[in-house]
This record gives sequence, structure tokens and C-alpha cells, in this order.
Amino acid sequence: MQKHSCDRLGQWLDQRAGLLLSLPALLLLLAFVILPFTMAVYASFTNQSVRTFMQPGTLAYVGWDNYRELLGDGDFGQALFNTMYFVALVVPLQVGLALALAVLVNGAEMWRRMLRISFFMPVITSMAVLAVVWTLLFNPGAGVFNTLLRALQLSPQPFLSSPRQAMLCLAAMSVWQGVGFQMMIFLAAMQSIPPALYEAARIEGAGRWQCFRRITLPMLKNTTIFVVYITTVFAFKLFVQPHLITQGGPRGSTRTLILMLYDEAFTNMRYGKAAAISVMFFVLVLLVTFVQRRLMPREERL
Amino acid sequence: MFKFTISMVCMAALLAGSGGCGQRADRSDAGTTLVVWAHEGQPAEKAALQSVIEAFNRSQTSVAARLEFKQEQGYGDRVNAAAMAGQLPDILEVDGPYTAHFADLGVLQPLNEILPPGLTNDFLPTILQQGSYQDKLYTLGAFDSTVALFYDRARLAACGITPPQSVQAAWTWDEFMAALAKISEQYPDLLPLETFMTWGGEWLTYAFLPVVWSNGGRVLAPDGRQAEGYLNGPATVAALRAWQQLFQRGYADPDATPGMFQHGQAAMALGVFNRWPIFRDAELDFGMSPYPGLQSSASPSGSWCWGVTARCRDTAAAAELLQWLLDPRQGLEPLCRANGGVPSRAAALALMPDYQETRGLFVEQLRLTGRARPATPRYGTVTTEVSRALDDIARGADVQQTLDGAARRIDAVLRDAGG
Amino acid sequence: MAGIRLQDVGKEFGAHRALCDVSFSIANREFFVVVGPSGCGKSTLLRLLAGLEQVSRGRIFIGERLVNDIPPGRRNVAMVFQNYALFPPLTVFENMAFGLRIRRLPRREADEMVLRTARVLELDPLLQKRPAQLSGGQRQRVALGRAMVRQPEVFLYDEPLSNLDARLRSDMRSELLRLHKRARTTAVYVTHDQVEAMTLGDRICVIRDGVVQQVASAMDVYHRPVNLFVATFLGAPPMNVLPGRLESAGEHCRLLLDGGRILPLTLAGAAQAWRHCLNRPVSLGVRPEVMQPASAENAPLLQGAVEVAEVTGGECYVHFREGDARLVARMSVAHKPELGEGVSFSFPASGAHLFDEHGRRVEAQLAFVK
Repeated sequence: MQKHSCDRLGQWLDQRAGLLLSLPALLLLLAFVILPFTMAVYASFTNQSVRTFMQPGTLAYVGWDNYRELLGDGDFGQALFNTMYFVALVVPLQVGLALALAVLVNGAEMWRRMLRISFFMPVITSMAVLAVVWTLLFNPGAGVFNTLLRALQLSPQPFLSSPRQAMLCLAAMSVWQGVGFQMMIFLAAMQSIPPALYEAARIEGAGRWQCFRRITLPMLKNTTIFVVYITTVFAFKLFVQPHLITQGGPRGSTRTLILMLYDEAFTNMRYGKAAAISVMFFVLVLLVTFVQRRLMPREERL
Repeated sequence: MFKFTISMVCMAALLAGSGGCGQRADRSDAGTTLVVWAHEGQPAEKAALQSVIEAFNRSQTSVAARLEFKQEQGYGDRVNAAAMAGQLPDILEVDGPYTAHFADLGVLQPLNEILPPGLTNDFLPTILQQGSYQDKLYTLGAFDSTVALFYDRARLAACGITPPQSVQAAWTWDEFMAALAKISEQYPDLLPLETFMTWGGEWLTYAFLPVVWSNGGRVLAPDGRQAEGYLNGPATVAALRAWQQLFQRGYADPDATPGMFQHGQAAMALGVFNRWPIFRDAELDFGMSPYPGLQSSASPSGSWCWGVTARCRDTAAAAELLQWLLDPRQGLEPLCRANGGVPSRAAALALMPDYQETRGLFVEQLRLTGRARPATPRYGTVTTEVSRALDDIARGADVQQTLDGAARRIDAVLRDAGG
Repeated sequence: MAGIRLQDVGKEFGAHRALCDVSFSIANREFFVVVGPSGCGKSTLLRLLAGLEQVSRGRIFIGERLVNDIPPGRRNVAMVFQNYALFPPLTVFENMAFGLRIRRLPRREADEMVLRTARVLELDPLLQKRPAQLSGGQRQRVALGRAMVRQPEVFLYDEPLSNLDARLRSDMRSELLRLHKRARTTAVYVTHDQVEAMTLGDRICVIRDGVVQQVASAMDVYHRPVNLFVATFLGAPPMNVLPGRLESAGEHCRLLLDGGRILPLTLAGAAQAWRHCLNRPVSLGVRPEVMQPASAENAPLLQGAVEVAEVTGGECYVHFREGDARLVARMSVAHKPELGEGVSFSFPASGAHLFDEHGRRVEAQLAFVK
């Protein structure tokens, strides 16, 4: 009898093992992602602000007002444009550069360790520190970049002071800061390619470039798809750099959606509107990811 | 993101209906314990406040003050979060211009009923202006601040310039610009005026709004409900166009690294009060001239100050502590000596003849032309927009267009803030 | 078509000496097997031929061409790897066409060549699949196909069958031979499996610690091993080795085995080949299959108690101990002895090999004195 019931318990556990094992993760997901997001969706249809918290009677349902206001507001459009511009700049640059660096580092056997560390350092360095350093580098007067340009007899640039160049500067800095992370992913993937494939290709007559194009690239396809996704999502979340370096300026040229969200929530204390921005942001990222999935080749089991 | 997490957690706590309050005053037989929150300033300032509070605790037995320092970075957000979660202390230090914000939220209670009448008689007018919102007094500070025009004596003398020494004789804008023109002609490699623009943020609002005021301009309507027509009104626009000329003519540089005057690379500096000991220690031969103005004179003011939260039940105990903190000998003198701030009461200044002697200009300027920043429940929005606008203007943006945008954004927030 | 010639080829990896003064020639269209225990340098040899490694010393010719400085892709060789090294993202068709695409052959011509080869290997139904969708045997055939498509002068095989199961392996062996006959090319085949070596090789090269021991036909390597290493490496179970001492006894000789047994012998053949062994330690090698149960005609020469008796179908290998030597004899399963049972064996002197104290083969005809 007892053995029988044990069997049954075992069977029950077997059938539900997947669910049971993912339960902790699901609970955390529920508590820290789904629940807050649901609250945000709710908040986005109210006038929730610091005031409604202190004086609960003032909380009111405002329908689509927050969204209407956002869409009718040039600032949101500008923030949307700035964000997309940054994504469009950073994703191809960062993924391409990460791949190039991975090839370089992978090829340099002697210096591999040192190169890997030096490219990865910025990733683990505090953004606050990097922000200060890069602000100094970009300084139009005494900055290193302009000193260099002057030394090369080129005209100095306004960099962060110019609405045209500020986002480019942030993009360059972000690529430099983040590229080590993607490089590491590529490097790991490259090192898992069996050397015999390259040997076989060499015997078949392939040179370095052919090896890269016909073996490395196709073998990195899944990794590349993954890296493009995470880089896109990281790029969309751009906040710390403009928050610390340009405060969204000059003339709003580096004001991103997340910076706008931060301003609404913590400067203007309009949580309802901030929530509306976060919902729009979510929908935007979802949309872009969806489009990417349609445009990009599918992942494959190899 | 940290702030966001905090307020999310607070929201969750609030929605769950759990208004916890473990930190507030509790009166037992032994007496009252008051929790005091203060911003964590410079080490000397922090130590001075610590010993002032300890002295208070030793001076009597009925009230015990427990001092808690909170990081200056994000102090306001922390107080907001505590307010929403119902976890405020009894005595709260606030950054002066945010008085209206906390008063409006109901975080602070008016001091008029709590403090003995007549206490405020010898306070600087700027302190009282900063502490007031809708005709009630909410905060009082132990010290004030201002900005003066520091100058290099030798170089200005070489240019034949003698800056005015008294507030009544302060330079008009034209005189100021003429002096700058002379300096830049005489010293082409020198920065004529250091403005510390790269500090950004609050500094811009604080240091440069007096230019607007001196031209009769305002940020907000007198009732504080509207920026349209004021921040982008003709008086403000004209004032900031004049101010923009500082940068357009190359007299000041929005990207100059701070410290140029200190290192002898600038002829003058619009420097805040606590530059004085730094310049003195750099052994510069410098003088101070009052803040220049357009039509009239105005100068910056404002500092951290004390308030009593609405959650404090034992207001008598709170009054006792506040009077100690604001006492000329017990509170003001040690604190002002620690941070170099301008003592907020005449009685304290009388105890510090050395201050009057070396930095009497600060006191005179605050008394005669000092002005508090606009009192509005959304000061955070106002200062963010104003400082961004000033930064853009310094970099050559169109003044009217920039201020139109800022006014529009401020008004959108003020409308929502209602009242 | 091309033969291969190695002259004093040496290869070091840092301080490790992988190959030492290797010299031999491989004839055009020969199937040449390189065999040895793992780590002996046989794979290095193959990689040197392929051009994947550079020689430290010596010269390699393919055909009449010195190939030392010629990159792998221009040596006109093809290689089949142990793990097949198929390109996972490519279909079977594209895997086979890889070399042709690199060489920018006209597409039609290339496709034609792939299809022809696929037909020979019966890969037609698999052409649009990816390597991941294939079984081990199928992958092996694709790897072969990729090598064959280009019709190279030399095929290099690096233990190509070692990842297959036993049945498939024996099928593939005969398949390889068939293809080799058909392709009429030179093949160099590296393996550690002596059965593959014996069955495939026109000639076998036995390597040990980077040094070539013997290059000869399968029959020669088996029946006339040059030294004890070769003698014991090839053949399963390995040759029995009986250490002892050769003494002269008048006109005969006596072999004093270490166990105490004395075998009276005559040695015929050129005397200078064996004289140096007299009164020296020697070893007598006897393959298990030449041992016969002792009988009236065949006096018992070796005896002991059965320790293990392995049955491999029709035959049975009896392990027993004679003195300190552990010995194996093959006998018919019908006569399988019990464990612990005393057995005694005899063997014809002509089936025994004599090795000197350095393990070198002694060229002499042995005969027992009656």
C-alpha cells in the first residue's frame, strides 16, 4: 500500500516537475515584473501624483488623457526620435565592433588575455565615473579630443554642446563602454567553434577571409541574433549617460524616453503620466522586437 | 532606477494600506524623543551639527533628539518616499526652495503657532521669504548663502577698473559688460569671468535668476500658478538676452572647467559664498563686489533650513529643539563657523565680528537685494526647466523660443499639481 | 597522380619531440596505413602532409613537388577528420560543394560533380539535410564525399572510423577499399586500430614515440616484425614473449627460459646475423595461434594452469602462466579446458621469432633438436 502511494506521489511530482521547478522564478516574475507593470497600466489611466498619495481623495480616473497629452506633445515625439536615433546608431555599430574586436582578440593569441580585459574594463566600471571622464574628454575647450583635432590641424568640434553632435557623442561613448560585453559573448561563441572546421576549410582551399565568411559568421548566427536583441533592448533603455552627462540637453537633443519618464516621475512627480510613458515604452520595445523577429533570420539548432 | 524601486515599494506599501510609522516621536514618562533628519554635508558641517544636537540633549532632560543623516544626493526623493509611506521624522531639514513643495504636500506644519512670537524679528528677510508659503512660515534656516563678484585686484587695477564695494553702488549691467570688455582686451588669454556653468542644475537657477529679477522679470506669476507670460515674458527675455551676451562675446565659457579663478586663469568670478575660504587659502589677492543688475539689483539667496513635520505630535518639544538650533550662540555660531554660511540672525552676526569684517558684503547684499527662488509646490520642475533653458541659452539657443518651451512644460505640470 | 616522399622529417612542439627523422616513400595509388599507439605522432605526420602544421626539419614531396611551403589548400590533398568536421550551417550538398565554391568553379560544373559523387556514395536522398540531422555513418559518408568531390591526388584519413560502431566500421572498411580502387589515388590512413591497419593497408608504417619502427606490407609486418614492439603491437591477443638466454652447446644452442625450462635449438642462416646473441639474454616470440596442444608427436614445450579461457565464437584463448611469463594460446573451442586445469602446449620452431637483448629481430631459422 505504502509503496503504491509513494509511486503515486512520484508520478505526480514527475508530471509537475517543470511547473514546480519554475515556480520560484515565476513568483519573482509576478512580484517584480507582472504586478508592477499591471499597476503601471492602471496608474497610467489616473492622475496619480505625489499629491494623490498624500491626499487620497484627489486620485481620479482620467481615461486616455495621459496618452493623449503625450501624443500631442512635441517633447514625447522628440524623446521618441532621440531614442530611436540612438538605437539606430548604436545597435549596428556596437554589434559590428564587438564582432570585429572578438575576431581581433581571438586571433591575437599572445595578447588575448590583456586585450580581453582592456575591452571589458569599461563594462564593469561605474557609469558615473565614465561620465565624468568622457565629459572631460569631450570638453570643447580643454578636452582631449579637441586638443587632438587641433594638433592634427583640424577644426575643433563643439561635441556635447551641439544639439547635432551630442547624441553622436553619447552613442560613441556608449558603444565604447558596452562593446566589451557583446565582444565577450562573441568570443565565447567563437571559441566553441571546433578548430577542425577551420582545418577542413583550409584544406578545401579557404583563406582567412573565406574562413571568416563561410565558417565563423554562419556559426555565429544564433549568437548574433541574440546579441542584436539584447543590444537593442539595452539601447532603448538609454538613461544614465544623458542623465549624468547632458541632462537631456542641449535643447533636448539627448532627452530619451527613459529620461523623460524619470523627469515625469521624480521631478514633476506625475506618476500617472510617467506610467503612461512606461506603457508606451513597453509597447514600443515590443513592436520593435517583433519587427526585428520578422526581419531577421530565425535561430537554428546546429 | 534605485529611486524608482523605492517609490514602487512605497506605492505597494501604501496600496496595501499599511501606513507604518515606527520612527516618530513617542512620549514616555522620561520625555519625548524627536527624530531629526538632516542632509549629510561636509565633514566639518556634519560634526558641528552633531555636537549642537548633543549639547541640546545634555542641556535638558525632557526632550531627546536623535539625529539621522541622509545622503545629500537624492535627499528630496527620500523625503518624498518617506512622506508617501508615512515614515517621516519629527524634525526635517529641507533644501530651502523646496519648502513650498513640502508645505503643499502637508509634510510640514506651519511654525507660526509653534514658535514664540517675536523669535523671527532679527532673521534675514531672505530666510523668512524662503520659509514662507501662502502667508505662513514653514521653515527657518541657521544660515543663508549668496553669490558675489570676486575679482583679481591686481589685474583689474591694471585695466583701470575699480569695482564697487557697496551694494548700493553695484555695477549696472552696462558697467559690468564694459569692465569685461576692457579685461578681455587687456588680457586676451584670460577668461574674463568664471561662471561655474558646468556645475549645471540647481546652480544655474540659483546663481542667475537675479539677472531676471533685476530686470523686473519673473519665473512664475505672483500667485505661483503660471509661467506663461512671466518666464517667457518680455522682461525675462530681455534680461536673459543680456546675460547671453556674456557667453556670446566670449566673456564667459559654458564649458570652462571649474577652478579657473582659483588658479589665476580668470579675472573675475561669480562665486558662491563658500568660494571665499578657498580663494583665501589659494592666497589670491582678491576683492568682492556685489552682484550686478540690469534695471535694479537682486542677488541669490537660499540654504538648507529646518521644519517640523505634520506627523510630529509634541510640537512643544519641537519648538524647544528648533529654538536651540536657531539660537545665536548654541546653534548659529558653531554651524556658520563650520560651513562659512551667512548667519541668519543679526544677533549671531554680533557674535562673529570677524565674519562681518571679511564678508560683510554677503550680509549687506542679502539684507538689501537678496531674493528667494520662486515658492511653488513644483519647484523641482521649475528649476529643472529653468536650468536647462539657461544652459541652452548660454550655448546660443534662441532666448524666446527656449523660454516658451520651458514655460509650456512648467505650466503643464503646474496645471496637474492643481490646488 | 602522385606519390609521397618524406626526407628526414622532424617536428617539435616546444620541447616536445613529436616526430624524429621520418623518411619513407609512398607509391602512387598506394593505400598506406600509419599505425601506432595514441600520442605516437601519427596524427602529426598526417597534419604535416596536409599542411596544417609546418615541419621543423626535413622535406615533404607530393608528386615531384616540394610542398613544405605550400598551404593546405594548394597541395591538392583532401582530408577526412575523425569528427568529420562537417560545416553545421551548410546542407550536405553545400558541404560537399565547399571546396569547389572556394575555387570558384562554374556553378553547373560544381553541382554536376557533387551529384556524381553523391550517387557513388548513395547520398542522394540526404543532399538537402544538415549535418545535425544525419547519423554518424551518414556523416562519415558526407565527409568522404566532401573529400572525393574535388578528385584530389591524395586522401588523408585521420582515424575516420573510430567514432562508428563495430558493425558500421567493418562495412565502411570494405567501402573505403572499394572507393580507393575506384578513385585510383594515393591514400594515407592513420589509425590506432591494428585490424584496420592489417585489412586496409597495402603497406603499414608502425610508429612509436615519433620514430618509425617498420614500413612493410601487412604480411611482412605480421610475420617478420623488426622488433618486439612491432611484434607485440600487431596481432590480438598479442604475441607471447618468453625471455631467456641463448647459450652455445657444442654444435647446437640451448635456450634457457627464465622459468628454468631449456629448449635445445639449432640456428640456421647467416651466422653473423645471430652470433652476437650467443650467451646473451634474448626473447622468444610465439603468436597464440601457432601454439598447439601437446601430443605424442609434439612434445610439451610450455605448460601451466589455466587462469582465464576467453571464448570468441569458434575459438578460445587460453591464458596460463609458465614460470613468470603470462602466455596465451589459441585452441578450438571443442577442447576448451576448465579453469585451473593443467595445460601443455607445443609450437613449431619455424613459427617462433627470436629477438636479441635490445628487442631487435634476429634473422635465423630456428629448429628444435629432437
